Amino acid sequence: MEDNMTTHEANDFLFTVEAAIPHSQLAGSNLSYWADAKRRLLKNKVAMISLIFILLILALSIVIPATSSYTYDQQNLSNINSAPSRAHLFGTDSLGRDLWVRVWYGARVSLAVGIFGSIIPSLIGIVIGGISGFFGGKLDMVIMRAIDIIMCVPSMIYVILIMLFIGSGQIPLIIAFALTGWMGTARNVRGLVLQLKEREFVLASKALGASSASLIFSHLIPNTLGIVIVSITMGVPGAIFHEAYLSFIGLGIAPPIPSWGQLANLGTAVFRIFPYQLLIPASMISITMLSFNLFGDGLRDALDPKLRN
Amino acid sequence: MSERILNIENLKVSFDTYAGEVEAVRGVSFHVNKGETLAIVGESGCGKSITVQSIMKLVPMPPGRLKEGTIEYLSTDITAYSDKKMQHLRGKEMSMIFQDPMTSLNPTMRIGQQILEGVKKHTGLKKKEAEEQIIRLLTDVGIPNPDKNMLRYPHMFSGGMRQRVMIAIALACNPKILFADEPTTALDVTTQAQILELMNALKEKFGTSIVLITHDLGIVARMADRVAVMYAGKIVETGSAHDIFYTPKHPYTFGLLKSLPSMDLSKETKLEIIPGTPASLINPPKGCSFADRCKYAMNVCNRLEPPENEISQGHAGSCWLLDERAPKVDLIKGEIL
Amino acid sequence: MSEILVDVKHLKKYFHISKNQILKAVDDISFTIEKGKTLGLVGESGCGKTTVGRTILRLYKPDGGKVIFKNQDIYALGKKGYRELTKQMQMIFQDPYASLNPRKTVGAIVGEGLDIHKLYQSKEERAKRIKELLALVGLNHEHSNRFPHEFSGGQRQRIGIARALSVNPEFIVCDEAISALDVSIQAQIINLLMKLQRELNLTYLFIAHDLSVVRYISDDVAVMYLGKIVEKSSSGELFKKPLHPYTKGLMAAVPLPDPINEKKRIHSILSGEVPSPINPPNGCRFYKRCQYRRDICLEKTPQLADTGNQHLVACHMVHAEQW
Repeated sequence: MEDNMTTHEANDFLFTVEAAIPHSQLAGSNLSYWADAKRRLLKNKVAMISLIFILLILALSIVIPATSSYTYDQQNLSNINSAPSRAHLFGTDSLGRDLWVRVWYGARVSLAVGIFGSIIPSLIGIVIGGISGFFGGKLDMVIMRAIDIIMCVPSMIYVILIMLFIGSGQIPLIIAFALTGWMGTARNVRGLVLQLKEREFVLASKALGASSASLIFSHLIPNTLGIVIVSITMGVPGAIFHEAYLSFIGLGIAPPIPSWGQLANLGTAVFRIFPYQLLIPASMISITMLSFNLFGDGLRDALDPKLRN
Repeated sequence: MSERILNIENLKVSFDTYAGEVEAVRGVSFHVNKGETLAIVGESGCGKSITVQSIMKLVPMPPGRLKEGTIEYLSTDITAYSDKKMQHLRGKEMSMIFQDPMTSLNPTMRIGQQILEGVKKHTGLKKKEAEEQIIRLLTDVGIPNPDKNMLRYPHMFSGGMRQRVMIAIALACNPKILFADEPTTALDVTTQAQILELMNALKEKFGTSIVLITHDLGIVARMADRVAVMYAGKIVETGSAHDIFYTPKHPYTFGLLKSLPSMDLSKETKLEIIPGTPASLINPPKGCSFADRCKYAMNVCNRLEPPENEISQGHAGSCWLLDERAPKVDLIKGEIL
Repeated sequence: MSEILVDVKHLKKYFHISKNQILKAVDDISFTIEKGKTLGLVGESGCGKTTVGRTILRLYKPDGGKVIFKNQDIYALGKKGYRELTKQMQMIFQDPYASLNPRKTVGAIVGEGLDIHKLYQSKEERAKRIKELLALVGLNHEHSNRFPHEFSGGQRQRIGIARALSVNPEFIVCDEAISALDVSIQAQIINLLMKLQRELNLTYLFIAHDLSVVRYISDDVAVMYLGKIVEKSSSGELFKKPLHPYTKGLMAAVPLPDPINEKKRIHSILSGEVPSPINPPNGCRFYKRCQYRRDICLEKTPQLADTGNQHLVACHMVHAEQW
């Protein structure tokens, strides 16, 4: 009180001129959901380093096979199984093919299968899960029981059967993944939609006369997008791994086209003598999977509405 | 003069968030006498729950931070008490009940067992004696057939019954202070009436002091001996229930009382409102935090924080209108005298 | 007598929980609301008041009864008729956080109704209309490209009101529209709702559990208990002279901001709590908690009947005047 006395000004005890502040001030931060998520993602060091790795691998897989003086199937029988050197950064294989080019060409194949093999089944899952959750009732029951039945056989068995039918290659792999990988996403999306459907903003929209399609596309799907993006990201390493596994057992990608799994397969045969032929593609698989997983973790944290404040 | 059992001086609690420091409690002082009910009333976000949780040391730190102030319990300074030391106080000396009786009980444990936990920890009673004590407690809080009901799980009880169980747990060791954080907000009115009645009866019986946190002025009128009105992390007015309800001196207290549609207000009369929304606790205004919503704001209010002025014995307000140099204002008539 | 806008006749809504469990959320209730008036619907949680509001708007499918709105049976309307109807009947929700889509801007939220019903010729007209609506509810129109989480609870409720008003409705169901708000903000929203009613000649069904607010805002009040209306009369009459034992208990339980009288008054007349509405017993639903119960209350369900002066009560004892 005392120290206030000294600082008083002459007009202190006059009323202020009517301040017009009725409802204009805003309470919260002005970031949109996506802007806020971006901010949090950018702050996550591990996720950003993982993202840099992913982008680097992607860029190199495009640039290197296009600019190198070797091609992935160019054989040089006079220079087989040579160790990594200046001329051949990753060495050559048992047919004298340059492994540097083959690894980066393989990255194209593996990443394509990984990314599309995750996106396409997720999209199918969103549609089926969305329909199931939104319309509910008997349709929902039928779809859910169907998923239960499909899921009680390991998906690898389906994939192998499909591959046997339609042959090997990139496109058949993606088709096989698309047909077998949507169930998990469908279940998740259905659960989310069931929750969202009862939210008041959906009811409000319904009361405004919105059609089912507009409810699904403008309210339900945008609100499930965050989780779906995370599940796609987390699905990529799974698809890469499955491709590698299938190629490894000789079902995935047909030679001479390399994929990481292919390369690892060929490398195993000579692992004892020329270990680099297995170690290089194996580490590529590991680094890529790890990067996608860590980036997916970061994305999940960034998009989780519970972590907002 | 009654015995002071809790004394809080200039308590300041902040939270560190990415948006900056949230000054949740900004210099709160109050005391609790033995056997009285003190109501801390205010709107959401005014810091009333954080104040009490800081006293019980239930605020997670970090992100929370006790910046300043002292907490004295029975003339002992407990401000710097470790969690371990607090454990001896919590439950035995001071305990707390929360708004939501559904989430504050462990769903996988029989209620008798949940009460027993506290009793055993602080009293070291034998099993047989402890069981008798539990039955006595459940009878006290009005749960019928306590010997059977103590073996049941929380989900078998209604909301009101669960809150009774919570009260039984809180009172198990006969604490001196019971902090009740919006204890009836999740309940229906008729159940609320029963729980409030129970709290009053138990207060009489055990001489427990109650610190009641609520936003409902009706409940304050019903329960409180003394009232502290909080706004934007500060106590703006404190006094007996009579002082606060019949001769409020702070424009916020007055506005709050006026914004309730009283039982004799006709539809033709407009409700008096406090315009705007509460001040942000990130970078709070440097003057009075209520100034921008106040009908009587003066130039000084935007510049300097108002000091606490004593109005009468036990009744004090932090408002520049109470300064002798300020123009005299009749809050009821809304006139400047 | 003025025009009846909403006429609810024997409305029923049951939820089938499992094979043998039926939740009779709304069980044969009837009331009318006159144009420009407010009917308050009060009751404790689980009494079915929210379900009434949602069923009237056809957000739930009824299990019986009719709702006549402006002389048309709304349950008989086809898809197109229902869309037209949504322009005339709107709703304001309780939770100002859950009722706005967090991913949409305020402009998009308020403009949704305009888009659905194509209520504008040009983009400029749409923007102008949104600006008008925001101004009408006391919000700054510059905020139309902000997101809901930037606003406080009271401001969000204003956005919800603007959304409901966008289609120029005549009838609005206010479902606990103020109960999630702070006291000082509640008063702002109540004043806003009453101002809008006067200016736009709106008709409200005001669903709430806070008796003093309902008394203030409503012309007529209906009290619900376990899916049934137990008492209904003009607001003034009901609060002066409650007849049903439940209404009396409810009113006694409300704490008032008046310490001298509050500390003397007895609040808990009613013992026990609201029982589950699943498989309710026959006879009077209030039987278990009623201090005046007789055998007849178990045998026969009391019907709403006029005690004179349009004051309807469903209680055998009131009509028999045995106490």
